[in-house]
Amino acid sequence: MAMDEKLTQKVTIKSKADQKSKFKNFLKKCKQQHALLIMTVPFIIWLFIFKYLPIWGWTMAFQDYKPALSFSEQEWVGFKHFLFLFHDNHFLMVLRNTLAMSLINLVLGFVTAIGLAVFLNELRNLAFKRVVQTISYMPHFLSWVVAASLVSFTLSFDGIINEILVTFNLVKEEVLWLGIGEYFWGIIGAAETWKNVGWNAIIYLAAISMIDQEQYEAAKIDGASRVQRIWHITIPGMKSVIIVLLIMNIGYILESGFEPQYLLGNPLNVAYSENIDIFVLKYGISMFNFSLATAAGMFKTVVSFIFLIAANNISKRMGEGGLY
Amino acid sequence: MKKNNGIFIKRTREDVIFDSINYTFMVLLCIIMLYPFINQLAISLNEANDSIRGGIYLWPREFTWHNYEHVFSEASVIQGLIVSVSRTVIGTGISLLATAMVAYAIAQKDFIFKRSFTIIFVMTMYFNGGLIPTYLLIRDLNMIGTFWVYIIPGLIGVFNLIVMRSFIEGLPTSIFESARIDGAGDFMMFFKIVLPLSLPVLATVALFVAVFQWNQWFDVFLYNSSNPSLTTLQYELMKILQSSNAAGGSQDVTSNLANSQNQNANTVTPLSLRATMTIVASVPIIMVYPFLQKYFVKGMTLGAVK
Amino acid sequence: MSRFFKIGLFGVMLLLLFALIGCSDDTEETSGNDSDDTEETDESSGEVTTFKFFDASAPGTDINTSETRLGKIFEEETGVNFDIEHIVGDVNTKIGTMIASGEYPHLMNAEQSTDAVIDAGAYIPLNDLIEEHAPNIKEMYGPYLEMMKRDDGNIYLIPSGAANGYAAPPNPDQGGWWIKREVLKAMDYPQPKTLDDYFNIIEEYAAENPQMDGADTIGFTALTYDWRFFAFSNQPMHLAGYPNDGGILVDMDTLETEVYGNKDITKDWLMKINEVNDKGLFDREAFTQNYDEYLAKVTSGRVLGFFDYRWQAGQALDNIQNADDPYAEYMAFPIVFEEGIKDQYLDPSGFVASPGMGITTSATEEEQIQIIKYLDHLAQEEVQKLIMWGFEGETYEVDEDGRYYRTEEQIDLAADQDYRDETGWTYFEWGWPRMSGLYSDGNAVEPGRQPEVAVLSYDETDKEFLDAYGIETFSELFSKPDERPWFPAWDTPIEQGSPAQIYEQQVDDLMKSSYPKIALADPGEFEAEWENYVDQFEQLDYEAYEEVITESVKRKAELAGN
Repeated sequence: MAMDEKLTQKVTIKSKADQKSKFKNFLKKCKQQHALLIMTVPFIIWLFIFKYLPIWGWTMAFQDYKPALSFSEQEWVGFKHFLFLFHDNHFLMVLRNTLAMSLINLVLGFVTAIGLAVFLNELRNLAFKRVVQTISYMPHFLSWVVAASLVSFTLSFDGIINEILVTFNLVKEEVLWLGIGEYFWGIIGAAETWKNVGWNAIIYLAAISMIDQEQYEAAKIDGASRVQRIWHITIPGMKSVIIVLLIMNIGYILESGFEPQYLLGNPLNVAYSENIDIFVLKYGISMFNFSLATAAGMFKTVVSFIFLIAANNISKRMGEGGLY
Repeated sequence: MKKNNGIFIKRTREDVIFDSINYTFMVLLCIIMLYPFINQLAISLNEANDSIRGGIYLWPREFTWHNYEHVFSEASVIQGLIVSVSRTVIGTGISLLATAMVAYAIAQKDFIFKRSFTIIFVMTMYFNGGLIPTYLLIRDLNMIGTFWVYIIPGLIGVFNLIVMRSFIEGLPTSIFESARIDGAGDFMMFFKIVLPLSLPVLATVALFVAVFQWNQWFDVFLYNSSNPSLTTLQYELMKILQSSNAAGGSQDVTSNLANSQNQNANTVTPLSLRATMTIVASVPIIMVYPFLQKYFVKGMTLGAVK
Repeated sequence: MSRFFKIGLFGVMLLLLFALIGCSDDTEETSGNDSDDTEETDESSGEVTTFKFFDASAPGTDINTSETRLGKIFEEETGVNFDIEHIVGDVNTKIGTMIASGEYPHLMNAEQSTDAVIDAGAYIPLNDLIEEHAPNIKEMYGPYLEMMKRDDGNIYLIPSGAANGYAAPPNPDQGGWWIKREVLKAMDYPQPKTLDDYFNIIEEYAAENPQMDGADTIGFTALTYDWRFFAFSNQPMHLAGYPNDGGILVDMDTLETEVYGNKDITKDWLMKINEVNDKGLFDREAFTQNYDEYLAKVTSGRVLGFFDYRWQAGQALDNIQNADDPYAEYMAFPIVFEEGIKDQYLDPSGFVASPGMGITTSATEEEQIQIIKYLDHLAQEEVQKLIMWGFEGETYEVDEDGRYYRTEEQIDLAADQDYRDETGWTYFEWGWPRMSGLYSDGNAVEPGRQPEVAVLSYDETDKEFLDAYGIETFSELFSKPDERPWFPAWDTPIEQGSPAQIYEQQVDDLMKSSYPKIALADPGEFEAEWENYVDQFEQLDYEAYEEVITESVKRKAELAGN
C-alpha cells in the first residue's frame, strides 16, 4: 500500500512536468490549427447551448413533474417512473416488438438501399437512370397517414395482393394480412422499405459517384466481369460510408418508428405492433405525464450508447475504422 | 449516347442478361413507387364526397378542381408557402456551410480535438433533454416568434456531419499534401479543394437539409403558432386537414340535417384533402431533386482536379 | 485572399451566434403571447381591445372575430374582439409548454389539459366576476353554476351548452343500430326491438342475397379503429338500456356506478357477436379496417347493418343521402337485449362542466372585466338567437304563432360553409357561453331540433318509411331520455397519474386485444377466451375508477337536487 503511494507520488511529479510540456505543446498546436478552431469552436458553443443545456430536463424522470412548478418545488419520486416502465410483462412484449422491427428495418434498409444504388449505377441510359432515381425516392414524401392507408388497402380483401393470390389459387380464401399478428413485422419492414429505399439509396449513389472512374476502366481492361466490378470496386468504394452509417444506426436500435405502427396497428395485431414509442404516448404524453416520457428517453439513450460503443469498438477491432 | 458507344459495342452475353434483368426490375420498381402519387392525384382531382365510396385508382371519377381551390382559398397557405421556401433556401445554405466546415475540421487527421469534438457531436444524436426544457431554452433565448427559430436550433444535423466527414476523409490524401506544400491554409484548402471535390456529398446533404426544412411543422406548432406571418406550408396544410377531420365528426345536427338538402357541392373530406395536401406539399420538393441529381448521377474523375 | 476569407467567415459565424442575441433584442417588445401585452390596452374606453383566445377544443381557421359579421356586431356593442388561435397538433404538448413558461392567452379552452391548467393556477376564479358583471351568464347557467364549481368552490370555466328544457332531435343523432332501408322494405318494414330480432332480419336477408352489386354481402360491420373503438365496446351498455356514460353504468336509484367490461351484459353481447360471426355474418375485416375503409364500406351498400353514433358514421351516411338511391340509406333502431328494457340511446339533457373557456392570469383585472362582459353579452337570449338561428328574413322566418322555421332556400344557405364562415357561425356556434334545449318562447335553440325545420327536409322515401312505422320523425322510435342530472359521467375530472386514470388506459388496451379474440373464437372456445379475459380484467384496479366516478355522480346529483 505504502509502496503504491510512493509510486503514484513519483508518477504524479513526473507527470506534472509532463503535463506542463504537454500543455505547451497543446497551446502550440492550437495556434497552428487556429483556422480549424475558428471553423469549429462557434459550433461547439452552439452545440452546448442547444443540445447539452436542456439535459437538465432529465431530472424530470425522477420527479412527478408538474410544468407549473419551479424546479425546487417539484416532488422527487426516485425511480418510480422507471419501475412503472419496466414493471410487467407488457414492457417485455413492447421491447421485443421494438427490437424486432428495428432490426428488420436495419437489415432490410441497408441491403435494399445499397442494392438499389448499385443497380441504378449499372443503368447505362442516363436519362432512364435519372427518371428511375427520381421516381424511386418519391414515396419518401408521402406522409405516413397516406402511406399507411394505401398499405392497409393493398392488404385488404379487395386489395391487389389478395386478388392475385386468389386468382392464381395460391390461397383458398383471402388472407387477413393485418389481422394476423405474426405478419406484422414483415409488413412494417416491407412498407418501410418501399417508402424509403429510394431515399436511403441517395447517399450510396453519392458514395459511388466519388469512386474514381479510372478504376472501372482499368478493371475492364483486365477482363473483369460486370459482377466482379461491382463486387471489387463499387462495394469497397462505398465501404466507409456503409460502416459509418451502420454504426450510427445500430445506436438507434430502440427507434423502430412510431407512425406506421400506430396507424397500421389494430386490435388483432396489437401484441406485435405496439412498441416503446406507442406505449410512452399512451401512458406518458396523453396522460400529461412528461416524467414517464423522459424516463423512457433516458432508457433509450443508455441502450443507444451501449450499442453504439460496442459497434464502434468491433468495427475498430476489425480494422475498419470507427465513428470516432 | 455518344460517350457510351464504346461500351455498347463490347456488350457481352453477361451484359445482355444483366441489363435486361436490371431494366425490367427498374420498370417494375417505378410502377410500385409511382402508383401512390397517381392515386393521390386522382383522388385530389375527384369530387370529395364521391371519393368516400372508394374505388378510385388511376383517374378521377367525378373531376373537380374544388379540393385545390379549397386549399388555396386560404390566404395563409400562400404566406406559408413563402415562409417554407425561405426557410428551405436560407436554412439549407447556412446549414450546408456550417456542416461542411465542421466536417472538414474533424476530418483532419492531426486536428487536436478530432476525437473529442466528434464524440460530443455524435452523442447528441442519441439523447435530448425533452420538449419542455428545449421550449424554455428557446424562450429564454427570445427566439419565440422569430424566423431564426427555424434555422438556428437545427443548424447542424449530426447525421449529415458524420456523412460529410467520412466523405472528406475518403478524398485522396495526396491532394491535401501537395496543397499544403504549396502553402495553402485550411480555409484555402476547404474552399478551393474540398468543397469542389465534395459536390456529390454536398448535394446529398443539401437535399437532406432541404427536405427536413420543407417538412417541418412541429417547430411552428411549438414556437410560432400565434404568429401568422411565420407560418409554413406544412403547418397550414395540417391545419386545414385537422379542421376537416373535426368537421367530419361534427356533433352538430344542424349541418347533418341540412346536408340532406344541400347537394354538398362544396364540401371537402379528410380523404380528399389528404390527397390534395400530398400533391401540394410534395411536388415542389420533389422538383428539387433533378437539379441536384447531376452532381451524383455521373461519376466524377478525381484525376481531373489533381 | 485567405486572410479575407478568414475574417469574413469568422464574421459570419459571429453573426450567426449573435443572431440569437440579436433577434432577442428585436422581439422583446413584439413577442407573441407574452402575458401582459394586449395590443391596445384600452386607455380611452371608446377604443377597440383585442384579446387572444386559444381554442384547443377543435382545429379551425385562425381569425379575428371582427372579421365575421357577428363578431363585428359584438365588437361594436362591447368594444372587444378576439384573435382566435385553434390547436394544430397535440393538445397536451402545446398546453404543457404554455404551463412551463407561464405564458397564456387571455382566454383559453384547454380541452383535455384543462385540469393541468387549473392545477397550475393559471385560470382565475370567475365567481366574483360572474356575480358582479355577468347577470346574463348567471341567469343562463342558473342551476348549473353549482356544478361548475370545483372542489375548492371556485368556478374556473364556462362550458358550452346550458340546457333549458329538452328538445328532442328529430333524427337520432347519437348511437343506433342501423339497417339498410332496402332490407327493411324487402321484409315488409319489420321493427326489430331485441338483439335477436335485429340479427334475425340480417340473417334472413343475407341468406336470400348473398351478393350485392357483385360483391359479397356483409351482414354486420363494426368501427374499431384507434380511439373510435368505443363504438364497439359501448354496445353492451346501450343494449342494457343505459345512455352513453362511457365505460360505466350508473344505478338510477343508488347512484352507485360500476364498470361493465367484466359483467354478464358484456358476455351476452360478445356471445351474440361470436354466434353472428360463426354464421359468417360478421365482417371479417371489422378489426383490421381503418376509419376510411369503414366509411367506404358503409357507403358501398354491401353492409346490411352496423352499430355506430350518427356523428361518427356521418360522412358515410351523408354521402348515401346525396346519392340517387334512397333505399340505400340506413335507418336506426333502439335495440336492447330483451323486450321490457327501456332504451336510452338519446342523450339526456346533460351538462358537461369541463372543458370550457376560462380567463387566464394573463389578463389584468380590468381586462378580466372586459372579457367577462363580452361573454355575458353573448349569453343574452337575443344574441343566442343570432348565433343559432341568424337573421330573421334571411336565415329564418317566424310564423303567426311565434314559431321559427326555415324555408328550403334558408336551410341550404345556413348549411353553406362559406356563408357560415362569413357570419361567424363557424366560430361562435360552440365553445362560447351557449344554451341548449329551448328558448323561453318555446322554440328549439338549435334549428336542427326544431320539428318545423326537420319535416321540411324529409323527402318522399323518408315519408314512406315514417308512414310505415307510424311516426312523424325518425327519433320517435327511441325512448325519451330519463332525467339524469349527472349525465354524462365521462366528464368527471380524473387526477393525472391516479390509479383511475391508469385503469382507463389499461382497460382500453385489454378490451382492444381481447374482444376480437373472444368475438372471433370458435364457439367451442368462447367460454375459455372469456374466462381468460375476465381474469385479466379482475387484476385491474377498477374499484378506484368506480370510486372516482361514483363520487362525482353523487356530487352532481346532489347539486342538481338543490
